[in-house]
Amino acid sequence: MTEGSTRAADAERGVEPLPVAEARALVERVTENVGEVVVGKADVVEDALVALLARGHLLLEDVPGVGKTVLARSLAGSIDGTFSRLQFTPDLLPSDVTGTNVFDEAAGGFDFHPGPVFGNVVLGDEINRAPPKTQSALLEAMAEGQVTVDGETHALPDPFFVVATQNAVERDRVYDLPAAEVDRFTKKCTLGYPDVEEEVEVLGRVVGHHPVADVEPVTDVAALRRARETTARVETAEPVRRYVARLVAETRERAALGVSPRGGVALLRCAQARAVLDGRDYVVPDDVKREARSVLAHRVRADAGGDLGGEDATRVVSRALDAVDPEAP
Amino acid sequence: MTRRVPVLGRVTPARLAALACVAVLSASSLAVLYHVVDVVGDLTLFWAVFLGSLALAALAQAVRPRYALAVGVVLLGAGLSAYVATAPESYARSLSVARVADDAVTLLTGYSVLRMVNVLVWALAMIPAPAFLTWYFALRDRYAPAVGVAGLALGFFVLTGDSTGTATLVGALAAAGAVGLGTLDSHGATRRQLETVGLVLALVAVAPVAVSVAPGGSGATFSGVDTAPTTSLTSAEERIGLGGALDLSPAVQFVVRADRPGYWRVGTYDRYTGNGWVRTGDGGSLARPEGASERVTQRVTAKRPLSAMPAVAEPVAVDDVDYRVTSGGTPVPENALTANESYRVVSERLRGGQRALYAAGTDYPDGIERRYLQVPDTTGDEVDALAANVTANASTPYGTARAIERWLERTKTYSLDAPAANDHLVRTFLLDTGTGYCVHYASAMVVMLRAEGVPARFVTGYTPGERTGLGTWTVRGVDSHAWVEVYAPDTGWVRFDPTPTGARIDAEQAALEDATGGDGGADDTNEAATTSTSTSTTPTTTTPTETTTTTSTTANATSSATGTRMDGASGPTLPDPRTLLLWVAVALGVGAVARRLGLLERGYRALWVRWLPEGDPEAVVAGAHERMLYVLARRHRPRETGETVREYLDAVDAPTPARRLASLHERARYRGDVGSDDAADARRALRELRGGNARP
Repeated sequence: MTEGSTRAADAERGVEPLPVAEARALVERVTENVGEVVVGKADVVEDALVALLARGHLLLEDVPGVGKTVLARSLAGSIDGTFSRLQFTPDLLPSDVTGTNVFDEAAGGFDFHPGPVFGNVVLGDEINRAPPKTQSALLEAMAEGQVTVDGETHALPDPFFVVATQNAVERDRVYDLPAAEVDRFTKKCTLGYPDVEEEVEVLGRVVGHHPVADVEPVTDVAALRRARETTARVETAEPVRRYVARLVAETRERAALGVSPRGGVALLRCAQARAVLDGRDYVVPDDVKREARSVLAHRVRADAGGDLGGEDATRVVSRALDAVDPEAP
Repeated sequence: MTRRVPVLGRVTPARLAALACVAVLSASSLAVLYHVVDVVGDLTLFWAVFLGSLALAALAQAVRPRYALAVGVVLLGAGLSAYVATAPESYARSLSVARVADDAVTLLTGYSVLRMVNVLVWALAMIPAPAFLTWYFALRDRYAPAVGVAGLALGFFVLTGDSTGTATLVGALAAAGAVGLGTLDSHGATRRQLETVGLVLALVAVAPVAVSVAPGGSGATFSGVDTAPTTSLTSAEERIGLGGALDLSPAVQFVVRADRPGYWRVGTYDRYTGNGWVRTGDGGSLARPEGASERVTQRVTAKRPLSAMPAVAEPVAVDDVDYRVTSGGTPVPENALTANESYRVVSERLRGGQRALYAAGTDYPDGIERRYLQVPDTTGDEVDALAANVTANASTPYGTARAIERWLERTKTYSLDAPAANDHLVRTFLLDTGTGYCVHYASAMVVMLRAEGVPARFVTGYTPGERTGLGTWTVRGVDSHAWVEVYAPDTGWVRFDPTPTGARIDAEQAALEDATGGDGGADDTNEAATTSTSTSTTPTTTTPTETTTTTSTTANATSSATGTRMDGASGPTLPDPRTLLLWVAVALGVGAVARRLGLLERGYRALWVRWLPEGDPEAVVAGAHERMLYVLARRHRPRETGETVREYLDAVDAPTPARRLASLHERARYRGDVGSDDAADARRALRELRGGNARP
């Protein structure tokens, strides 16, 4: 399992975990910081941080102009790390993502020029506009934490966190992510339109000077790595693991394509992150339940002919949540 | 054809219950036959025939119902043929279709099968067919025909009057249960549906109590006594039940004018059934005793309606009324005598009284031996041993009879308030209570004599009564009595009376004295009542004072009760199995109702919530948490399946102790982190939650 291997690699590196309270404080600082730019989306910011702590990646799907990019940029800006942005278009090539080997005349050899994927936070805008080959270049990087160009392997920075956006309108000339690849996104969230009060606030903030440019980092990459280690060490008791397993199994009962074991692992990790956000070093079923919709829905195909995710898939997950007893022995 | 045939091995709760019901029904219909075989024969015979039939039913599982039915009919036919073949010659000779139909009608109109002379063969012949068919169908899961066959058998015995109210009710319940449960079983019923059947059965069992308009309803069913609670010796019934308190009415029954007094005999009985006496056969003739006798002429005037014809033994001629003669040689009026109706009867009394037995040998005629040596199988060896012990020094029938008579007078306590009837009157009297009145004494003596091989019979009638004038004897209800007649070859029946005379007279007198206070109009001649009560012919000599005092007090107690007809069912005896079965059905039904209404659950929970057992902290916290959820569920609503505890607590707006307990439990369950302090805290929180109705 690829996600497992990165985790093992971290453990070997011997990162000292932050105390849970400090990890929580870190998350709160980032949330607050992002909140100064993005109005009224605290829960999505939390979702993003959960994905980050769970060593996952986030897929944002929404109509254009609701702040997906601003969210990703302010998140990146809050962390003292590198940020890069990839605008996916139908003519984008894999090497445009990963980088290329360029012949260096002075040295008489090929020199690797890293692509935009080399960043702590990578924003992949409108990922479904690029052809599958280009998409898969990014997805492989996400899965393995490294890219291979011309037979040479280059490690990606740690933390490496991809926020991809998907346009829910303009359904022509798009390449929908295949089931196997959408599975690699830990969570899929939607932002939604702000309500009137929030919109007034938004309008007040952005007229003149856009605040995203002023985002100051509130934490550094090292602290983030330690917070991720804290998350990985959160206790998951047998009843919780059983709950996750039964939830996942239940979606398989209820849908044409249910949640894969990878989905179950992602759910448990997100639950760990959620526990950290709540200041606990153990997972309770509420954590699992809270994460289940955003972690599972995009991995479910409700009926044989339909799309992944969508309204019916959310309903399948909701039904599974209603049917499985979180307190069962 | 692939019909599932042998299904002996299938085990489901519903099927087991249905088969159990069939077993109960089968048992209640065969109980009569069991009783009959017990009374007149050897119980091993019953078991052999019954188990043989069962084995045949199991073997026949492979056979189609049509053939099984044929086998059943053949078994029945063969049984009846065997009965006819072994019937007395006179019966076989007069055998005709009309006779058979007549007998059948007689049987079905309440002629107890126990009165059949050759009842042993008949009973054994009747066992196989119903047993075989019932179990053949039951094992094939065809409950309706099984219940039909067994129900037919039970119905037959209800009509003959042999199946008692309780046994019939239990049988009917079992029939309903078998059909209901069997049907449910074939449709794969849920436990709830099975409970419904239990509920209905309980209703059926209880309904007769609540609605006592049904004849023979409540009282007969639940008192544990099937026979009438009081014994009446004053009519010439063909069978009498025994036990319970004896009702001694002080009213004058009849007046006899005779040149000398005697024991006025009413009826003789030959078959002892364990709980009563039966006179087998019908129709006999008046005959004088074979030994030397003297003539006694009596004129009997009934003073109230009388269905018997008291006369000194042995009556040989009766004038002035229409009568018939029972198989016991006693006359019975065709129509009950009305008050002041009188008849004349001539008797030949055996000369020499008991001395007639002195010289008698033991060369009994076959007919006498067959009829007067019967003792039920289940009376038991202890009674035999007791009889042998008592009569160890006796070498002649006379010696035996005297020994038993004296022993009974000496060792038993006379009381009109005898323990309730049960299935083994004599055994209970001899081995257990040791308390009884004339019926017990006489029955015991007959049984012991028969155990010793001396033919004897049980006789009812009246003691001579009160002499109210020259050659005039006034006989009251209190004078009714039971005694014993022992057969002497070439002589006749010799009377013995094992009841202690003094005690009996005390009891009678007490009843009389009591009556003069309350209901004196009934007796017209009580001036001499206390002085001249006859004690004429009883040969008793030994009446220890101890016995007398005991009995006089008990007699007093009884006499006050005679006016109100007190039931005698007060002994510390267990109710009989049929009644127990009924109670079990009722209890199951009540249980089903309680379960339906959630009473059991609630009662249990009420205790459960308050009692949290000690244990390791984890278990305590988990237990407290579980109880908390129960308390909240009762107060608000139960937690839904998909709801986490936190969500639930938020939804019902739970108070602080609940939340504290929930987080303790969360830590214990999901972190494995719990100490004894936490356990104590959990207990405290639960207590607060239980106690505090106040919302946060």
